[in-house]
Amino acid sequence: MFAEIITNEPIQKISEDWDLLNEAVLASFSTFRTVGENIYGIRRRFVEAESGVIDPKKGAMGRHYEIGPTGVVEHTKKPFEIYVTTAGTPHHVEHNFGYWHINDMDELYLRFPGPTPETLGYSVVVQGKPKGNECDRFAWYCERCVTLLFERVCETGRLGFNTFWKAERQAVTEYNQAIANRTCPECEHVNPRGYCWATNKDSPEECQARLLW
Amino acid sequence: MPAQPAISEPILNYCLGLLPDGEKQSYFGAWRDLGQYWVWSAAGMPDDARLKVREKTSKGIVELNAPGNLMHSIAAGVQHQVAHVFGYWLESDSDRIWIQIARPDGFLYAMIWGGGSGAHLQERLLWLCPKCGEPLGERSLSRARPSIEVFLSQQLAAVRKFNSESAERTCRACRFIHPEAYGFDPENDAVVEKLARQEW
Repeated sequence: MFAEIITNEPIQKISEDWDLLNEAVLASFSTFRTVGENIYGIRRRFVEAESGVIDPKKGAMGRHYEIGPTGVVEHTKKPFEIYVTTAGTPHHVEHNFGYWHINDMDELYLRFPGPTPETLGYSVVVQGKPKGNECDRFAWYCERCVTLLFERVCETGRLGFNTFWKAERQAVTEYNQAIANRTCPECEHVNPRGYCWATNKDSPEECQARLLW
Repeated sequence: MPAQPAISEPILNYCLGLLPDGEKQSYFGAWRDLGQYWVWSAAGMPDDARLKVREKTSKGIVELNAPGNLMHSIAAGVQHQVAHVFGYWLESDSDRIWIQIARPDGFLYAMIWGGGSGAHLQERLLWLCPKCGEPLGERSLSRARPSIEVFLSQQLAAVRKFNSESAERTCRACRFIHPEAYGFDPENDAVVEKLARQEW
């Protein structure tokens, strides 16, 4: 109905990033990138109804864990499903990042397969851009009794989200530095090491830890 | 010590299938409040009219016409309209994400609103002359707390007010009469709104 007032200019000339799934654009979202009030991560992964999400580098990573009042709960992500981990919920994705992330912002996930079973699908995560006193936390809980072992805070609202990755590396390094950090004061269980989100940051020990949890 | 009210269990997560289980036909979902995000989804068969985003840019109005998958971000404050979904130009205090997923039997659509804290509190509904682009009318909506129900009720009242004002729907520049508007929920469409939804 607006045919007479719609511009003839191709959309690509008006906005290069008009389609975030375009291959040329998508590469800039392989970690996280802020657009407006949201932070986006868009990865190409195999997305299957049965086995969940398979990353070409990290392997199967469909198991998503959260900690609530009853302890650890598991959710297997399904294609075509919008899943939101609410602000304040400690969450961990197996083989993807080796800590419990606690975000002051809600995190929204959507996965959908590629056009054929052989092609990569899309794994999208969106979270609000933190402001003011809103933070990101990296935490470790005992895998046996869920006692909080270690935590570091990144003031992403005050310092900007670009401080996240450096803070993540620092938190993982500090946690892994002393076995006492990984030893539960309640049940004395020695927990596995932590590891970062990016596989290229893994030390040999962290690479082993990624296989464990 | 007086009895304290019970503290409710924390909500850890929300989960929403874009297409309800067993749903195979065309589908027009309801809005869902998923915390800081409001989410809506729909499915269209190959013969159904495509749901297309129109957006006001510095270079004029564009219509997104992607043949396959699409994920498009609309910043807070940018006027936009989605054909057959809501019959007005919308400007809001929160970002929007429009997603179109191509499937062998048609398209899945999702609209995600929000992200930052303190959003979903105000919007502006506008109508432009489809022939010359002249602004015809507008309504401002606001609420003290985020509420989808309040928003849906406010936008439908604004639509009906616009539809009842034939002078407002007549373009002062070119005299074209804007067709009736329609709200978000087809279930609540009056007869004229249902026809308008099919048209634009």
